[in-house]
Amino acid sequence: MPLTYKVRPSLTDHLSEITNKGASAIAYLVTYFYGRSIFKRRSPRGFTAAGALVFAVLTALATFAALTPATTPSVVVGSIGATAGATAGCTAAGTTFAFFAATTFFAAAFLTGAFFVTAAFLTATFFVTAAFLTATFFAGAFLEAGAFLAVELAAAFGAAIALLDSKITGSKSAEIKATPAVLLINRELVKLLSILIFTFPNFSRHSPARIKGFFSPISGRGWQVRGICAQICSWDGRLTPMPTNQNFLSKVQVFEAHKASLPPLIPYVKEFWSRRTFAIELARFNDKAEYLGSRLGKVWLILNPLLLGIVYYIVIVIIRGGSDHNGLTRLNHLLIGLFTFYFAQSTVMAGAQSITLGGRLILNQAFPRTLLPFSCAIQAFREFLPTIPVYVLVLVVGKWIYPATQIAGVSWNFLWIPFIIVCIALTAFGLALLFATLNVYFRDTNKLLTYITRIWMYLSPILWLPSSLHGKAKLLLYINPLGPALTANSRVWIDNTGLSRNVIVGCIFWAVTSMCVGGYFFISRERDFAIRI
Amino acid sequence: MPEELAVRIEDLSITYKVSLESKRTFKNALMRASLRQDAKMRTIEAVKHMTLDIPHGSVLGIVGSNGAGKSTLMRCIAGILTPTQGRVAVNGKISTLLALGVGFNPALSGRDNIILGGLASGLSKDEIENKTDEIAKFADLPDGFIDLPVRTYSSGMYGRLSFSVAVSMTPDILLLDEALSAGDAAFKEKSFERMRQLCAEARTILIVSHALATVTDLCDKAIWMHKGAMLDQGKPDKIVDEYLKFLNVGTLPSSYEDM
Repeated sequence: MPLTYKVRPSLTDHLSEITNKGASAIAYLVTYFYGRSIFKRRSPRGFTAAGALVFAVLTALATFAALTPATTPSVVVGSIGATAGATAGCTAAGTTFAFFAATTFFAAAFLTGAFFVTAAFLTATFFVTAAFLTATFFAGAFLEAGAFLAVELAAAFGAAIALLDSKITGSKSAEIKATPAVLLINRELVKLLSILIFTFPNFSRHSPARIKGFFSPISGRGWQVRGICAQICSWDGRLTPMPTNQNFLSKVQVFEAHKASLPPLIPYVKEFWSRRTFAIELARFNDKAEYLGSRLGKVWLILNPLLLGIVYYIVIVIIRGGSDHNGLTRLNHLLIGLFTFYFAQSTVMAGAQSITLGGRLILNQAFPRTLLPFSCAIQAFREFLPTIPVYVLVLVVGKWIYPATQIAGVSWNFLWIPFIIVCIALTAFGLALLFATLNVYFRDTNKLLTYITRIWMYLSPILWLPSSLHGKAKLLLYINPLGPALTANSRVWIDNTGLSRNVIVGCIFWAVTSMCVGGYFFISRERDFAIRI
Repeated sequence: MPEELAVRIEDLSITYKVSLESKRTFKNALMRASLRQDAKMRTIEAVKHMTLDIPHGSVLGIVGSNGAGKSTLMRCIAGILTPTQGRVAVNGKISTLLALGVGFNPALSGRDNIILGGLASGLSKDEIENKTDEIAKFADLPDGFIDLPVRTYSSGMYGRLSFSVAVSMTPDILLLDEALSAGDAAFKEKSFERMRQLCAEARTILIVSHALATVTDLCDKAIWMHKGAMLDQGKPDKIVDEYLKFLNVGTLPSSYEDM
């Protein structure tokens, strides 16, 4: 789970965060060793069939639990359902270990004193992780639980540091509008620290063999280390203030009862186009507001990805393999994949909230509502741009250190990049429209979306290479709306080759489909928003 | 639509359904589907068969008790809500001030918010930047508050700024919903003056107000809405009298002047 800093986290917030993370860490540990024992005894294939089915059911239950607001009866139903599912699933797989896992949750939850809320939260986290396990089966990897263990422990550390941090900053202001710089710095430090701690046994040649042996399942696998990175990177919460605005209409307008589901599109697009400056400036001012309170201001836009790069450098290049030029290739693949994915992710996540958060603006002004998600997309793009120089910096420094690396220099293939970015932006914007509409009708969409994007990331060729899929598994690349675009992205940036026909068609297909579906869904309902909000 | 009309409302009805659930979520929807229950909805007829012409240059006051459909009507004229039946034609540029403090990002300064507000209204960046000083001058915030974050403002200052932005856009039609309740006496006098000036320029103003003195002072026509229907229209004094009689409080000064 990402650590989200509330406007003013209280002591109990921090404590429960620590306990949560600790508890889920224990649970993951159990899952990990349990999974390993199964892996040894049975063929992976047998486990896959039973496991995948059970996990799929559990995911549904977990979703239910995750959506549950903190009211007593629904949480109990959700939690009991999820626990029963876990027990059943694990019994089916031949052991009762997972039962321990479930009980651990509840023990920990009791300790926090916030039983119901915590229980729902933990069960949800656990089973979404289970869903991820299923996903990794298809991606051809196994046993990511170890990585999650490390991640959750790391996050527990993070929470501990955050606790200290709130002591340092004192949380004096009732309204912390921008994340204070201290918090940001600490977050980066914690990332570094926790990764070092959990990979140290491999890192140091002098650590005792016994300790090495204990940690090796965690740190010895490149996959898992990458899992850690992924999780840790996703771990930052930001507060995005949403401004609302005055608005006017012009010319003679006639409003009539509408029968057609879509308004006339040409005037709509014209109206949208004439207000584009508003969307652009809204994004700019949002950025300004976000970094207003921090002393380093917009430097964070560069600093954040740079620090991220350093973290990955340590993990992948130093810890995994010393002077390994393959490591550099992987690092670069991961970085560019993540940066691009974050662009899409923040477009979708912020866009999905833009309508419900823009409530009063929508209640009081008439304008094409698509402008609000559009502004979020622009903001995401503004944050994405500075990551490109960071990537190039990592690449150049990397090539200087490992001249043998396979990553080639600039070529004409780079002309594909604008095409790819446009495709990604359109796909993400379409999805943002879809989820923004859903969010108006079902207010828990946003919660659900957190899980969806998490799973989405693992299913995308970011932590793994597109080439690691074979046969039918390759379908995964095309079912995923961002699959073709991210494959293309990696191919151009890393392999420096042109795009295959399939990938180009895939990119265009998803951009068009997503814009059509999302756009239709949104625009045909946007005149209802004022009533629903 | 005749040229001299600013707004023409023909047989307008606005109906909508509201859910009686505490919160609409997927989970609730799933639960309902599994229990084969229908969603509990309630139909609200906010405006019923209303017909009205508003000529350019008039100031129309709308009075009525809570839930009479006044705000819904305003939103429909602004194009925010679509009619369920009937038709609304609007001739001119609309500026709305339908709820106090709308349209401001609290982390940004007053000046930034003015720019953002102007852009949202469809002005170009140059136009709004030229107007910023004028708006700031009209709002007349004390001690350089205009360059401080809006979150540091008092509610009165907030109201002054939103009002200044709304009237500075030289709208053809200005919709005000309880917008004059903030601000001190001096500012109120100033805003009345500004509204009279707008009228003199043949612009149209629609005011929803519970402060009945505003309606009698400022408007040249008033309508009385009750449960979605327009009960009466005419001279403001007459309408306000009728409305007060209906409320069974007579013409007591205390209820008459509650600003």
